[in-house]
Amino acid sequence: MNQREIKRILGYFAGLFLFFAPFAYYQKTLSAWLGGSQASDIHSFCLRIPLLNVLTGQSIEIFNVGIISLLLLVSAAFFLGPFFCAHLCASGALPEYLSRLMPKRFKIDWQRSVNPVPIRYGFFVGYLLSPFLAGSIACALCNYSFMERLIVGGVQGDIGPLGSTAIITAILWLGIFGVMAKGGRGFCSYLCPVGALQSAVHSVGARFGFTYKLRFIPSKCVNCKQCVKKCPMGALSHKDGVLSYVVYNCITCGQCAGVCAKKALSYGTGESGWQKENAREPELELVK
Amino acid sequence: MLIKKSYLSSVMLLIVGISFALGFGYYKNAVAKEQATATVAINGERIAATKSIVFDIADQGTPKKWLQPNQILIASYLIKNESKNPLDIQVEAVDFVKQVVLEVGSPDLQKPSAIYTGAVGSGKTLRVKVKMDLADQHFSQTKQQIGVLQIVDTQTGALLGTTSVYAMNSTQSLDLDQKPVTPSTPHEAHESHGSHEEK
Repeated sequence: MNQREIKRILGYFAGLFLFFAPFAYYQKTLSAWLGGSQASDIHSFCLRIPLLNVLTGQSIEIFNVGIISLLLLVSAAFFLGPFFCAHLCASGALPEYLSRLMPKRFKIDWQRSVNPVPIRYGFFVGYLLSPFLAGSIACALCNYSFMERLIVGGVQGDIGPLGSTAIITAILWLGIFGVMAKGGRGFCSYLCPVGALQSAVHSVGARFGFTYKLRFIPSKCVNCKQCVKKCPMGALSHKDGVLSYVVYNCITCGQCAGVCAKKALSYGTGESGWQKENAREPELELVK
Repeated sequence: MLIKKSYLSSVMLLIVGISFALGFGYYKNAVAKEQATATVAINGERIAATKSIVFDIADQGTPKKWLQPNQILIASYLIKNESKNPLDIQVEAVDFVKQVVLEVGSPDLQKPSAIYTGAVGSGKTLRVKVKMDLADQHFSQTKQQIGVLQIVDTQTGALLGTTSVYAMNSTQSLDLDQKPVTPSTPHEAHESHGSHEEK
């Protein structure tokens, strides 16, 4: 286990204590700083509430945990990439690490089988539309909420009653898209609106030289494909001797850069180095 | 003729993503009866009127029926203080055979108990989550009382409100030999308050 990997694991543990009840030290600290007594669990960190307030035109309370967290999340994604996903999100990390326990022959390479980008952003749009059309799906298909239940259940010794939607979430998050998936981040790739928002913001931020991004030096690449194998999100692929990259599905975890012996991939500021032939844009591909 | 095949597949997958999110929203509504909600308005003087809560364990989504049919949840038991003064109250789960947990606010390191004590400001609402276990209990089409939620004024000891909780299994035919699941106050006694409205 290299130093980068140890840092990642420590970051996820920090995220576990920062954002999830019964600890939720981030929410508790921010709430105390704001002088209120807002709920201190993962729900007060929820993306849905400030976004819905914006969409429905309700009064926007700037100084609450939800809005401040959303601004921090978006700012971090713009300047650093999906920093939260890559370094702090324990709910994304849990199935990733669990999937490493499963032999490769039993795992499905979801991202190679079904292009995650349109589903990811389609789900994001549906997530925002659902309160207006079908009743909110927030909490119903929320792996953050379930992660918190696991932690609280672990601390208190009882996970409590689960609804059908929570059970389906667990099956998808930890099972079909977790342990059974190559990389273990199928849920992040297809069904996480928080990750989708950050990657979308990062795709804009990565166009500027002063922001952090995944950089590529094609002349150093020896086509070993180790980065493709390591990427848990399926953001990298290799075809006809060309390494392709989808920024819309990248969490900038840096595992690809860590495994690249030739230092062709790195995380930092400056030009990204990805040319059009490297940046996969399947919707522009014309077929006779 | 050029066909934007990948473009079309991307659009199709986009629609799949949107449909899944919306479909799951409808599914959430369809299984909403798995969790109950109830509101009781207290005024500090007389016993507040509230609807009873009835769980039909047959009316659950398939995943819950398979994995956790006997663990039920009152997601929001809302206690509204309509008096002009703050009230110190105790919420207590009474006569339940199995474990009941009353949870207020964010989860803490300590597991909550079947009793909650706290204050409710004037005009404020306290939200209590009530978690129950119905394991080893058998229900028929006739609803059976499984316990009562009581709200007591801790300063005077006066009963401020009660909510009866019932369970039934609408798919199970009536078993005449079946005994009541709790040694609680008979249903009629609770009706004598004249304040309950059955769902």
